[in-house]
Amino acid sequence: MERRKFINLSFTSLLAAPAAAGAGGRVFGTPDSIAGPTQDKLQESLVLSLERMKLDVGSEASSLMVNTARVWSEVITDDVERKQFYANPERYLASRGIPKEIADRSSKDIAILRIACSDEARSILEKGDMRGYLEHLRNAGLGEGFESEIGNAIRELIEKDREGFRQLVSQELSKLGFEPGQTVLTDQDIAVLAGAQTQQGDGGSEYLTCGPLVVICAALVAVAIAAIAALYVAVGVALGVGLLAAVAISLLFELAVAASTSVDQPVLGLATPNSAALSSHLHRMQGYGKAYDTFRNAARAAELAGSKNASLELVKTFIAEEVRSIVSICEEMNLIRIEPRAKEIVLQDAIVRCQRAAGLTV
Amino acid sequence: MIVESIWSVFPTTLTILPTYRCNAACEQCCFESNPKLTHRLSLDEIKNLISEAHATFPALKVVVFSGGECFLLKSDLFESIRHATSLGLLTRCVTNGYWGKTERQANATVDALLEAGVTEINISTGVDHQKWVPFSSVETAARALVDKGINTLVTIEADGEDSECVKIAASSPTFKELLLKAEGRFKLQQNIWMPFNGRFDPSRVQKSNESMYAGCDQLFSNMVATPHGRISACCGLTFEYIPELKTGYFREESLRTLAERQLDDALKLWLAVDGPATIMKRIGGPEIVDKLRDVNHICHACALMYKSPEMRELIRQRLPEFLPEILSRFNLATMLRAGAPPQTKQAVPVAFA
Repeated sequence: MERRKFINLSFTSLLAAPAAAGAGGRVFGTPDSIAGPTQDKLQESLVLSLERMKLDVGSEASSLMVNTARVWSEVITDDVERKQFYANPERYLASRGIPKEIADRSSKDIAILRIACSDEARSILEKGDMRGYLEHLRNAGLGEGFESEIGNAIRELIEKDREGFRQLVSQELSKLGFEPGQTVLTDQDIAVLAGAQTQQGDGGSEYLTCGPLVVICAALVAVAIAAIAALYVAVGVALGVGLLAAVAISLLFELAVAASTSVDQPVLGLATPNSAALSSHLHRMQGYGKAYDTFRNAARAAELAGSKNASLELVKTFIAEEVRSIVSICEEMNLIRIEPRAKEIVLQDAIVRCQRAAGLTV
Repeated sequence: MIVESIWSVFPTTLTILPTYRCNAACEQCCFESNPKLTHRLSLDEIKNLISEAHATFPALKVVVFSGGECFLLKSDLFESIRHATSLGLLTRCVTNGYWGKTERQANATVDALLEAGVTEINISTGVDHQKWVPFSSVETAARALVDKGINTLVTIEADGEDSECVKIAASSPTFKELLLKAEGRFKLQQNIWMPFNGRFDPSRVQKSNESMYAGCDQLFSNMVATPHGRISACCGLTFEYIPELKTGYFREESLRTLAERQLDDALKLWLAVDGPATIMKRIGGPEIVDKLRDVNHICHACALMYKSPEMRELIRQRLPEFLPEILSRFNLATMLRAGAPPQTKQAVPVAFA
């Protein structure tokens, strides 16, 4: 009770500060940027030096700290420890003397570590199956589903200005000579596409050479992507909300740097095409909230598991999911319609186009 | 007791605030920057900082020039960028875009940036900035940058939940064109802001910021040099109000010593793993959450934590009971960042004497 009164007093006075400050009054006093480094001596410092705490080697606290550092490291470097940890993290950590409270407080980090220790995840990553890897993450409780989160984020954005989005896409479609809702591909077209597919193998931009229709279809999808980029601006730019720009930017750059390292780029990092694109997309992806968190967790676990190209592949997967979501929403809104049998071909082509347009080496 | 690999992953960013002088004097500027301030770092100091940081911290990748208005340094800014680039570092400048007043001026500036090898430019604008720098200058600057292939981010400060400035930016034909044609080189984002004086409009506060309860990502990853020759552990909005965030003077001590000092502060480790709002909640009880309902920025929470005499006392009293947990979690978080270096079979904890 006493502590509550204590805190109440403190916070009531501090939170009332803006109002109490009155016109022009400073909330937190004079900043050092104006006063110079004069505040150094004004109050007893709240720097709590570990060295001055003089934790004795051998004390319970000291032993625990040494032990936890060792455990975290061994889990990732020693195969036997890794497997034991993966099998049952709770039991393993308890057996290594790590208190449950510490494990509970680190539950998210431990979940990431567990993914990195998973033979299954490592195997999936080795195959480069990013969708499978993300599915594995979902099953492990890290991220509720990459695709649905991206889809929901895009849908939410469009719902804010549905008509604006409709107009944007319609305008772009009309420039290409299409009416909204027009069936883009006929059965004959699909037969042509299917023939081309047989001749040239599956996937990728080879289809660009197969005929103008595919090009046009892919262009439509790319147009929709462009339209939604414009919409991001029109509805208020969800990016970065909840984060100070400086913090957000630093974090993103940090991730971009991690990403550039992970794709074995030289120190120049952003000077290389993929890493510049990764940086750019990491900026953008923050607007996806939970999906971005999933990406970050996935990238960290993958890199810890030794997958060097994970960040790049995850960003490419992210873009692919955006394309699929946007196309799906455009179809729901009757803005475009693509015959189901041709859809995967068109989508793959659009995905490749969007990844290339984003500067990523495909 | 920190895993020894920490200096292989931190810091990744050196932020240089060469001056707090600014051509603008925004109402809610966190540094109260204005045209009358004169302190600045010399070109030699800036270049030496970059060289020392590059030589000391293998994880360093990015040098950020901010302020104040860093473009007021004119040729010294370009020379500093050139120096960082020559060392293989990425560079970013944060500016209000005043130099985009005319196309000619914008193009000349961008040419100099290109020649120096800059990686990215961030332009800040919004309701406060636009009283000093017209939005048209921002548009002109952004176009000149993007046209020459420089990654450009425009950050719009929040001016309420239904932001007029964002709407203005959204309807900008220039921005739309850049978004559609720049192939990812142009980005827009909105940020949130916090009160620094009694003139702050409360409607500018955006509610419910869950990220405020997360750990601080700035600490350890960013090393910040101020115009007064100090090194700060973070570049948050309130760092110049919190003496404890400054680790010392780079003219007197090495960057490595100043970084080690940051690592020796248990509270900074706690801030990194839990963040200020969660720390206050854990030592002050869940009722703190209700009291922080109108606080939406992690830096605001941080200032409240450091400025409350009672909270300071509680932290001083109770931190030791959380210490093993804090260090353990910090170790884990660092390891997740660093990966496990193959040469390190196990962490070698630093024992306290």
